[in-house]
Amino acid sequence: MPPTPCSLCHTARALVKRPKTGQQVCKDCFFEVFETEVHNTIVEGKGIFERGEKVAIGASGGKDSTVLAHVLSVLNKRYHYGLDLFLLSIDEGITGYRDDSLETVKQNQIEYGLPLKILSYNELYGWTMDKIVEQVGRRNNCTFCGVFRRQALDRGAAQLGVDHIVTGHNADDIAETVLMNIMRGDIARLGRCTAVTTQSEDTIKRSKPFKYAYEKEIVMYAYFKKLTYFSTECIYSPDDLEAIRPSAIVDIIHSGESFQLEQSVQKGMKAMQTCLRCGYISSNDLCKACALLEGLEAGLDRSALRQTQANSSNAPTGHRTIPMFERYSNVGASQPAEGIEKAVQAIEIK
Amino acid sequence: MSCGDIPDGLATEEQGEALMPRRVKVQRFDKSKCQKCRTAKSMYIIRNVTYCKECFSHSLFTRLTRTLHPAMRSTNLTSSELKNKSLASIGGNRPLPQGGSVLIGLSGGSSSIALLDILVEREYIGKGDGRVIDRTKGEKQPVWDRGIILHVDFSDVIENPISKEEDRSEELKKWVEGKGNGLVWVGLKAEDVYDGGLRKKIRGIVGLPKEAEGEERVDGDGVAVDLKNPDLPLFPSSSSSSSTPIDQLRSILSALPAASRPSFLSSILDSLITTTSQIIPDTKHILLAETSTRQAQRLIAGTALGKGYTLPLDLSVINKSSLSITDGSKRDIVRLKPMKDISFKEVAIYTHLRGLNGLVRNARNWDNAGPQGRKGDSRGKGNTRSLESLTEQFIASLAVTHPATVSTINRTGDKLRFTGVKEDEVTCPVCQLPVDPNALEWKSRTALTSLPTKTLPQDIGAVTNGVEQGKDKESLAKMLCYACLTTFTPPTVVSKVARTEVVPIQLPLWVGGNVRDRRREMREEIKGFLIDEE
Amino acid sequence: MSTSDDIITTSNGLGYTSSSAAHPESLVKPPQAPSAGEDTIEIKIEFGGGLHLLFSSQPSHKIHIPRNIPNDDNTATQPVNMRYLVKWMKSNLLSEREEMFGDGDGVRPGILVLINDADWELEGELEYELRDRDEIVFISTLHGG
Repeated sequence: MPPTPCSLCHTARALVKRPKTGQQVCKDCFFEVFETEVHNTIVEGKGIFERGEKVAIGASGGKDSTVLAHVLSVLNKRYHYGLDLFLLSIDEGITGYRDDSLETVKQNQIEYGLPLKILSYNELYGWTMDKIVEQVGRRNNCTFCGVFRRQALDRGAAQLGVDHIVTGHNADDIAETVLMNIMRGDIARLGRCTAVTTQSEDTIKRSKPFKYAYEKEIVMYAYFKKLTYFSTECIYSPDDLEAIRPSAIVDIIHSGESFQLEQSVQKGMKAMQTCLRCGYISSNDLCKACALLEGLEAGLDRSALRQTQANSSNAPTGHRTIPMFERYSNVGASQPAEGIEKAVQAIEIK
Repeated sequence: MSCGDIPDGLATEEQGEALMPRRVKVQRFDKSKCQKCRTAKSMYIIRNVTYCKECFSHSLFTRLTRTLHPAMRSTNLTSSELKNKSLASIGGNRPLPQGGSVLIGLSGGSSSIALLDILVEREYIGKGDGRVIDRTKGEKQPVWDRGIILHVDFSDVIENPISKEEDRSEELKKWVEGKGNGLVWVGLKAEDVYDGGLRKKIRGIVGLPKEAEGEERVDGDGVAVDLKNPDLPLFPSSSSSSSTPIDQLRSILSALPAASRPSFLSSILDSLITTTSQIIPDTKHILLAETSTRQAQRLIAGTALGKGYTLPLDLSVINKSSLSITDGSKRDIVRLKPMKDISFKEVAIYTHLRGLNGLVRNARNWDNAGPQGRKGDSRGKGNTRSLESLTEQFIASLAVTHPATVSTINRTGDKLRFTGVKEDEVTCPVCQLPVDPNALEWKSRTALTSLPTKTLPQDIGAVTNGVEQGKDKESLAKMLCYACLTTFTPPTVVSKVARTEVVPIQLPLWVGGNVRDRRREMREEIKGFLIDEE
Repeated sequence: MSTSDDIITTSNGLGYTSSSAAHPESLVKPPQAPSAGEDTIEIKIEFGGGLHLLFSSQPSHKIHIPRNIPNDDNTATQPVNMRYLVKWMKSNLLSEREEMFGDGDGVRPGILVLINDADWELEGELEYELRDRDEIVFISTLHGG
């Protein structure tokens, strides 16, 4: 069979078939089209970033974050975003798994020349995932990990003095979230999950530059660029959707973006307050992490999930607590109008 | 998605209860007795409630009326208002008599047969003779004077691998006509969308006088499109008016990728329903027998097809639209979905209890439309070829372990709102629903199919061969909504040979008509600036 | 299978004659039962929603199956149940496309089963013990696209 020319440059020989469009392209064009799409996502509309912003890349050592670190550095230079990039990694304390991936992140730090901060569950909460699993078993450990991780990222970013966190969530993740939220009836999240940047009242902005990038293409990019990453198993495989129609994943995201909710639903969502114990954002008196921690400390497991005993702002004696959450104090132009008021108030209280 | 990458916002208290409760055989009360009347033996279990035969039928009818009656009192109610119990009661025991005709879509599946059966049984539709009813004899005031029963047959284009796809029109017609004079049978075929004489045909069936010469909509001049070119350039109708409608339908089906055919057939069905309601002047309501199960499938499949923008319109119980009729004026017509709260299982039981099992055919088999087994057609799990059937199987299997699936999905769907202003919106020539703004631009931004830095040497060669024809043509792609654009977009891997040969395919007449209307509208807008009259 | 008149014997020695189009109701003439005391029962099976197309295009079947079947560890017998019937149907009645009817031991999601007009979910589903002259209805609720 004669070699097919690349559908984009029509000269070089086509080496790969793009999962997203089915086009057959050569390696260089693949890199270019992948990077250009991410660039388009970043600059679309008003743009995700502002010049001079400090941006932390949530780095797990996995392919998403490694490729993200690589692509962002490249684009930052190529298009002069003027961003200050950092690598932020969370050590959950899972022996074997995390040790190796952290090594990868350290390598990334050297490869891309970006400052790295590692925050561990142990130093933050006093518990590692290994110990949590020992305590609660394997069924709900994901809840703990998720809650702790989210806070950890925010805290790490605050310590770095960063305005913005970016994560490697890709199109497959978002499509999955859209469908899942429809099926679970989670209206509130459905309205938010396709936004490229999310920000709640006091948490740091989080963005997903890989919003339109297919997971398979991220893997291909990493493979062809020979980027080091720690491979984890892919649990969810949207293979069937992709087999029937390659654009299905992006189509789901398009639908998700078009969804508009009933007004009354939006009003009913809980107002946010801060945790009485550690100062993190919460919809109840105690933030989820503190509640879970209390449960762990007391040797309970699942009951913590129901937040029935979360009512005192002082932890029982002898329990470890999470250090106070210091809100970042740089009131830059990146703050939306309402945020400025809050930040000003926060400074005054201090 | 590994454990550590839980998306924003997922890690909150709900996550512990995130999994929907698995079905547990709860024996808290005696399920062997009907939970409604508490005397008769349970025969059916629907959404964890047991019913005896009587209570089952009763509950079915109650839910039907609770959806239908308020919608007929006020077509401005939103989905959540409809669910409001106090508002539901204003529907009363019977809707107000409307007179005129009601158009009922009869696909021949359990739900449409059940719907028609119930409506006739309860005398919602008159006997067609306009006589005064005698309440003393227990007769009820019909809501509508007559029912137009529309059935569209697709058997000519379905290639069922098991046996020849049967045309069920005759069988269904006999059943319908056996139900009384108030029902008018209109049997159409999918290929009628290529038939210039369609309107005349319908008028004939229904007994309307012929349209005056000048008023007859000129549907005869069709429009053709090059489906191999992602811009979808339009061409004037190739004079293949010697091709029969069925040939034209078959040729467009074979030109479309297998995954797109069910969507296309669906738009054919919609357009035939719309056309029929346009032609019959006293039609104010269209009843579609969509069950809650089907609704959930449409929401998920619609999301996967990129239809998010118009889904709220599609899913709502009440969908009011303005139809333009031949004299240029508009008439309001309301699409209603009275079976929205009733699941497929229930209509299947109902039709069985009424002895209609032999009449019912649920399988539409649209997955088997057009030529089968072409190289390059990819299949998903369970031999599915379209997102619609993949979704259907997925929901069916999910419903086994998580029975609340369908109702949860529908509840989510009910909360979606349509943001555009329907009347002002530009409509898609194919699905005739509002077009999401910037569909083409969004698509090209998120999935680049060409690089600005690389010029196409093809351009030079294009001047010399037929591809150049495509360059100055109007692009259908720019007029379509996102979902229809996805349906018509060619698979990008097109061999060079196919590209040099431009074979425009005839589009169905309704699409051609809409395209011409669009052209006319656009010309009106710039009329003042045109120097020469063409 | 739908055109031959071969007698297909099951492990119990009972036969089933697959029907041709000439015989609207399939009848079974069991040969001499091999072991004394083994009875058969008659079951009427009906298909709705188009499912009959998988079963030689016949909407209605009358069949005979053994009254008792060996239990799981072959130590004793138990009354015949739906699980057995479904398996039996797959081997003897199904003329096409097994995956469109069965799913493991049971039936495919989307197929409604009624036993004497009652929802099989209330009768124990696969564990329901069949009795003589029971009427089982299988209705497909899937559209297939």
